[in-house]
Amino acid sequence: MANVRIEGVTKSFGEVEALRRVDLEIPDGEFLVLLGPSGCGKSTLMRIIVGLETATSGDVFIGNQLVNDLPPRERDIAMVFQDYALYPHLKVYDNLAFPLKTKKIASDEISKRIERVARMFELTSLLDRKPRQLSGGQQQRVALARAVVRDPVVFLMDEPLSNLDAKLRSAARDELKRLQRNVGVTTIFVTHDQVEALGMGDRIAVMDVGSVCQIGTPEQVYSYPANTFVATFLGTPPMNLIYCPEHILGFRPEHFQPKVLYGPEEDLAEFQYRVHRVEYLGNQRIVYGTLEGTMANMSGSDLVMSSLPDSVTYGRTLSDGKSYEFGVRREDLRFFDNDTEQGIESPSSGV
Amino acid sequence: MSANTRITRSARFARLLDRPGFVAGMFLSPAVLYMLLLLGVPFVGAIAFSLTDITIGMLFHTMPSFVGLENFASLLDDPDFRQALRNTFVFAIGSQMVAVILGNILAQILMAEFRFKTLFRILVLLPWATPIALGVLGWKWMYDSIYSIINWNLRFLGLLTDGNWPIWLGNPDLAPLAIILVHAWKSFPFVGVIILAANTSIPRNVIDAAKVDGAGFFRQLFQINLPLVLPIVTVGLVFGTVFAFTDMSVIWLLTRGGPINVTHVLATLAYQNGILAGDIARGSAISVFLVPILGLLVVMALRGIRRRV
Repeated sequence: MANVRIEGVTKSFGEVEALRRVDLEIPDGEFLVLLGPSGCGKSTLMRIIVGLETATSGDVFIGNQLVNDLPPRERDIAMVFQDYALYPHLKVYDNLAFPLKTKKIASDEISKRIERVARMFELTSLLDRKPRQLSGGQQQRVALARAVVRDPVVFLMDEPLSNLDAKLRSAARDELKRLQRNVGVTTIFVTHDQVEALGMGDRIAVMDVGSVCQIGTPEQVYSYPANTFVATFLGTPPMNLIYCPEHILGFRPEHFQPKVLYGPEEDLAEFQYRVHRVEYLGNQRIVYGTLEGTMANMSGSDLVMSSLPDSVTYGRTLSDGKSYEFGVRREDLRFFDNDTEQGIESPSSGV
Repeated sequence: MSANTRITRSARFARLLDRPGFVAGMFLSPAVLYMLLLLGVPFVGAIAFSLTDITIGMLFHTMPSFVGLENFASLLDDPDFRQALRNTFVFAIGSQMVAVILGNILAQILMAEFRFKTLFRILVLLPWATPIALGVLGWKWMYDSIYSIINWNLRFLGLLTDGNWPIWLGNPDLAPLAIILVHAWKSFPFVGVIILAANTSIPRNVIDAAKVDGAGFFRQLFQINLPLVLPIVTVGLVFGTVFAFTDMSVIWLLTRGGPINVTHVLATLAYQNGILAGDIARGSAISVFLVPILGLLVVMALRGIRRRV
């Protein structure tokens, strides 16, 4: 087991800069999620950590050892690939044995370890099968087992759940998280799915166009986004942004509620809100509309959204085209700089 | 009255074209006809001739008589024939083995990134693209007893003295080797390209997984790459073997079966006996001898292809 430290890592492919001076420190035993849209450089960063790519500049440390010049086989990192990358010509048993044989481990020790890991992932009855004879979920378990059986110092997982169907995925999320807690190995988990990120990460590193925008616990990145990108990338529907002259004002749709729902003593920012359309999603209603009065036309071309749980019966009474009084608790307002789009402390000039 | 009665001829033809059976027959018939006339008829003819005592002098005026398997029996007694039969196997298998090794090295080189790769790729595919007669003439000069560029270079490097100058095509021990080398030279680019193509069909993640799992170059090559490309390469190899089995141009241009018949294969021996010496029956028997072997190879090739699908 080991910590991972990345210092000033830059990667260029010709003219394109895939990573721009990335710094990241992952303490021993942490489950860190790299979250970002496709093309943000998260997979490249992972491939640099494991040694499949070489950084153009910058350093990678594993267990405080500089590994820039070590090939993957000398880094003792296990990786789970998005498409599992099982060896198609080898039986499950030999797939699991492959990483052990390269370490020149004795064959009776190999079979002991495989037996243990097979029990752990319920693969005992599948050891004689070829990968193509397995279902997607079974293949995913083999891929995880192949990583676990090695006893590596770090796990890297590149969207390992994205090929599973929705039902299997939430179960696998839970299993994977519990597994990591039990084994206690430092894990870097790459995903573009915010539900996976928020649900599994001890911390989340949000990436955009080659750099890390913010690192923090799920609560920190969701509640206190460092910039407008993080604010709108996390959350469904995303944070509402109002482009005021002095700053950008942000608030989450679930914090934007009809005024009548708040108690009289609450410190509210109030808005006149015209409802355009109400979308019924079963467990909640998404309200689409525009602000009126002094705030009109400041939300750009986007509609301002409110999300109301189905348990809020008032939501059923909202009707299209009508104007209502809405409010946000002042503590739930976020502010961003107009030019840099970075988060700023709440300004003195109120709303 | 109805639309049916007024169907024009072209409309009737168009309807005929709607029937897959008719269209298939129409498109296949030239090929079938071609194969029947140019392959089927001579093939049946050769089998028929091999069971008679026909010679070129008897053609068109004397009726040949049926002799059963006598031609085959006499072939098996003939040491020249047995040598040619052995050579057919040795040349085909030997050249394919060399071609696989060279082809695999070539594929590994072509997978790497380096400058002038395009130029290298063109140069390396030349043997395969060159007309066989031209290539073999080049080799004939390289193997020449006086002007051999191989020998002159070896002497320049101090590996040869004037006393042990090898006569490549004149020495019964060296001539078979010389032929195997030319066959291998001719087919290794093709084998290399097939291995390269098969390699690119391996998912990149599987190779990456092997690297992460601790495999070095040779473990990757022998435990991941080669097992995964083997089914495709087998098909390529069977085709190469069939080519080497049936090819006579290389041998005919280089040695004509000499010296003292040590480089004859069945194809050249059949040509020499049947066409040059005029013993059609014997020539036919020699060439028919290959059929069961080639049949087996074709079955293997088709099996291999089906397994891929």
